[in-house]
Amino acid sequence: MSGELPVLYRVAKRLGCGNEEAEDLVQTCLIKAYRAWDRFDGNHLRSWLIKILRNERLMVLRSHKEALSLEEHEEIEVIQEGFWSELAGKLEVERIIAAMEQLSPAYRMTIHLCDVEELTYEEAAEIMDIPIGTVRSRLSRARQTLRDILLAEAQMEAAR
Amino acid sequence: MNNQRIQDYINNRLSPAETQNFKEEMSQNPSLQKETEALQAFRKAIRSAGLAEPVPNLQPMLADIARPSRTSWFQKFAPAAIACVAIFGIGVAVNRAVTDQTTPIVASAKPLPEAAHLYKKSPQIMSWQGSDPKEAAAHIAKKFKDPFPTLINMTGAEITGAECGHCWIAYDLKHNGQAYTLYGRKESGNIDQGTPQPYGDHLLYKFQDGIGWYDKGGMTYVLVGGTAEGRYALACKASKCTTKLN
Repeated sequence: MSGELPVLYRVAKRLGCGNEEAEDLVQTCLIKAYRAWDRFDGNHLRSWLIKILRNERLMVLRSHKEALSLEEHEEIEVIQEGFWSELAGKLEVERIIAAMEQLSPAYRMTIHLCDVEELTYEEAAEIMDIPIGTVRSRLSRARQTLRDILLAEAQMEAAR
Repeated sequence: MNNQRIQDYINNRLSPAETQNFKEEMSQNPSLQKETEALQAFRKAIRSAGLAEPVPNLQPMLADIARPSRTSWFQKFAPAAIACVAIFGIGVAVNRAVTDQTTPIVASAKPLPEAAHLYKKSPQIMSWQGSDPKEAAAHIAKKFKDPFPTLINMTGAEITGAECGHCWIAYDLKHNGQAYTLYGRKESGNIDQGTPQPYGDHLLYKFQDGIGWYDKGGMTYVLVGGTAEGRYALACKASKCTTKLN
């Protein structure tokens, strides 16, 4: 299980926790997992732990009346030529982390699970309690939003 | 250019036939290939950024949480305790009949608060007649072969003996004008039913009407009374003292 600790910590951070809060959340998650170990089916430990962690976080957010809801868009999108290649040269680590912080919680979580932790759509859907199709569209939207934020910041910097 | 299709290709969500078609299309469409490679690079950069964030050493958490549960005190010492308590109980009864003593530190009279009922299991009775908590703590420690806290001068609280149920030690505390009772028992495992909240290097377990914690020697403590905020503040202070005892 020790290999999952950094993953849990990173997910906690992406769920909006500060450093100490993230550690507390991981600890609570481990305690819950330890107690619920008999109910773990032995498959997909990472997804199971992340789901516990996310549910714990949601409980806290709900108590503060912050929801992770998001309207979903399913329409087929057509992009212009150069849409993604415009990003070339604007992908520094710090910029990306800062831009990810600006994403909505649902987009941030989706992009973290699928792109950073490289979970499958199925695993991400299970963790977030959403249909697989929603993961697909949400990931697509999240990347585009992230791209827009990065480009906008790069343009603002160039204008200075 | 269909954005979702590029993303599905990047995410390995196309069927083998669709993937083949997409590759053929890319070979004939340089701008599609450029876009696809750019999104691949973007995805790689996101992953690198996400993994680059420093992560503290969390391994000690696992050691704390996965430590084996301690054997119940009653399983270890039940026969000796029952004999000891029976003799002691007779002594207390005789003593009570003969003289009117000051407040007992531990007795079996008053109903326990709801939180304390969670841990009430055994019929043994441990009693002490006297008004000095230090003396009582020393006596009980001798009987239980384990240190008990007096908490005097530890929390800034005014402390006196209290009545409680079976196999418990209890103190009444007055703190910031509020009345609390601290119960202790040589047992572990039961307050896990509460909501855990990390504090320092240990956990506090919150209940509707109380808050509990363990010390390192297998004692369980439950604090009831006062307000939820007051209980938490006092539990933070008291748990620091008790966790240092063993």
